[in-house]
Amino acid sequence: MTKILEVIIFILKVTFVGFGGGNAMNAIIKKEAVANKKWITEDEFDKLIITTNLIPGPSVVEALVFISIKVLGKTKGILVSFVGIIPHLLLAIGVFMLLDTFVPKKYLLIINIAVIPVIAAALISFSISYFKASKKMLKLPMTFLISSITIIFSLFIPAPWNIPAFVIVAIIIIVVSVNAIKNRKEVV
Amino acid sequence: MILLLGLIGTLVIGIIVFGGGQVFMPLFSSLWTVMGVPKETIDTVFVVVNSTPGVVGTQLAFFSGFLAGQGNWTAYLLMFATYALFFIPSVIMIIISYRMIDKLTMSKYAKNIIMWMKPVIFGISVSLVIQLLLGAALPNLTFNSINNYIKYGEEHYFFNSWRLIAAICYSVLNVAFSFYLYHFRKWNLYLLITTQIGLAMLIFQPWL
Repeated sequence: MTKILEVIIFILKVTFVGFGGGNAMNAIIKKEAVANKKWITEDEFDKLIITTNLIPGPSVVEALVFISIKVLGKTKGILVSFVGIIPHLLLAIGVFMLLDTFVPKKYLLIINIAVIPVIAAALISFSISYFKASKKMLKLPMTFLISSITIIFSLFIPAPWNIPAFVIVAIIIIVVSVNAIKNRKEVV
Repeated sequence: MILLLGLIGTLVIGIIVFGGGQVFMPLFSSLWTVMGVPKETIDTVFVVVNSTPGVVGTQLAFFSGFLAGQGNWTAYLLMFATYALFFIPSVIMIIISYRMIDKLTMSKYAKNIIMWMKPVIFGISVSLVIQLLLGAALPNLTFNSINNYIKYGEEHYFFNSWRLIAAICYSVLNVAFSFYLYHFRKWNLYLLITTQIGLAMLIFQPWL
């Protein structure tokens, strides 16, 4: 019961703070599920980001379902994540129904302008940890090159063609091909 | 007919769209237009979805059922039906991929792939920070959305004259201070958000 409650609170925290959507929520998910609760390892989290970006469907929902299943098992995990996501949906419907009569739009815009930079700050902190980890494993010019290509791709390729899945698939193909060539050379 | 369109459309969008966030908006907009939802209602839904926290795609799926109900009591049931239709394919996909993740852990290439993905994740996050900050500092700017690569409009008339200058300065200072407090002083994220909302209300004075 405590675990179920903990997972519901985790989902509520992510969904009620999750301005910006999609990958913007990764910083909060990592802080809660990896650093605070230790439900998944850092490696599993990395694999989760790669997988949710590679498969169709809402990436945050997929990440939340994955973590819930990991903690509670398949049936309970699915049910708890289904229920846990609902409160923030009801909030959106509530705001929609009360908009203009009880909640003027300008208040929503101000909340947005207050929260988005905080989420950006958390994302910068999250990015730094990935930059440091990358620098440890790869040489600095390689880290710089791959991250620059990703940034340029995400910013300058017009939506919807700038989805991260393209970069991820390209990297996987390159890594697997290079490894296969190396292995073949070793065998020869 | 409208009901069927709402249900099937939401299911299809959940299956075909990659990633998250704003990517879902044009697809739901087209679906709702076909369903006969007025443009003003669609615009209001987008304002609400962008200004409230949460998973954008799921919120839009929830709204699909609500709008398909056309103001009847059935709208409250339909919004749960469209949410379920959007949620279930994600569950199936993540369960299948869960096995893939497990296999990936065993693979000899796994460590290599993860190592090369770290700068990719860094790059994705940095570009998101840039996009989020552009959106916050210049509320009337549209950057790299599906319909426009770059467009400056007057959608949010509230942010004009002194409020626009205040928005630019406040966003830059907010991200700098929030980063310092979050990264170095280990402030709680929720406390930071609450403090910034209070501060923003004082700065932008919506009651004026």
